[in-house]
Amino acid sequence: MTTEELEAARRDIESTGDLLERAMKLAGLVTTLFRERGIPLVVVGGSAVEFYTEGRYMSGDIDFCRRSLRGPSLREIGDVLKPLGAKGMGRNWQVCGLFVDILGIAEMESGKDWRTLETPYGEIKLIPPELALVERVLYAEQDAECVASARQMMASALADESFDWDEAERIADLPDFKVLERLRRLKQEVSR
Amino acid sequence: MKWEEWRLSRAAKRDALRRAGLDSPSRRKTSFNASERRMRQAFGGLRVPAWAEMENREQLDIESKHGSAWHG
Repeated sequence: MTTEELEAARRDIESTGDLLERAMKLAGLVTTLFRERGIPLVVVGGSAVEFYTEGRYMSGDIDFCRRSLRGPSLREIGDVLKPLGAKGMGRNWQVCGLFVDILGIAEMESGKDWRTLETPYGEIKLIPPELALVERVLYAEQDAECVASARQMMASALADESFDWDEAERIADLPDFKVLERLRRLKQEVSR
Repeated sequence: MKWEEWRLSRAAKRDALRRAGLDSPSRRKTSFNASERRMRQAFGGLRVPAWAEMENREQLDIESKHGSAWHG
């Protein structure tokens, strides 16, 4: 990506009023810049939940993990993001009015493929909705502040014809989560 | 999924949440992520412990007396 293209992308992202659209465009740009350095990223956590719940859950940041053993060094993260006018340090940066966190290796408990979205600035990958939902159910158990987003994620899953409930139950039953009964109860509650 | 396809699907997703009565934003109390919030709670509103600032101050004192390691 040339300096001119980068600058044009930055201006477009900063002027995008819809916060979810802005986040997805920025995710596309950041993913492309790291991909050019041989580091594939995936959008995880609350940012993926934002995508699935149509921005009703606003985490306020975009969390990336990498899908490769080799990761960017802390210096390399700055080298990639600073040309976008990013301010910050280490793994945490503020770019185009949003917070961007470049975290470690992605943990992928799901057998499903990453979901993909082609943004104007490149393709992004997101954790599958089945995993995003199970994570929210666990977080809701651990932090009452996460109950609302777990309900929203459940409502989105119920409206998604491609959502794989067997897979969600399998993940929820893993020792890593152990939230199968909670998942079923939440599904009943939101279905009513 | 293509960009335009996604944009067109957004209204349907919003409608699904509205029908479930779950369409109000569930933003966290601050714009900071959870780990940052916990760090600030732990360090009296700062993102890093105060000793980090003190170390920087000591470093600045050393640099003012002996010159910076970066600029000689």
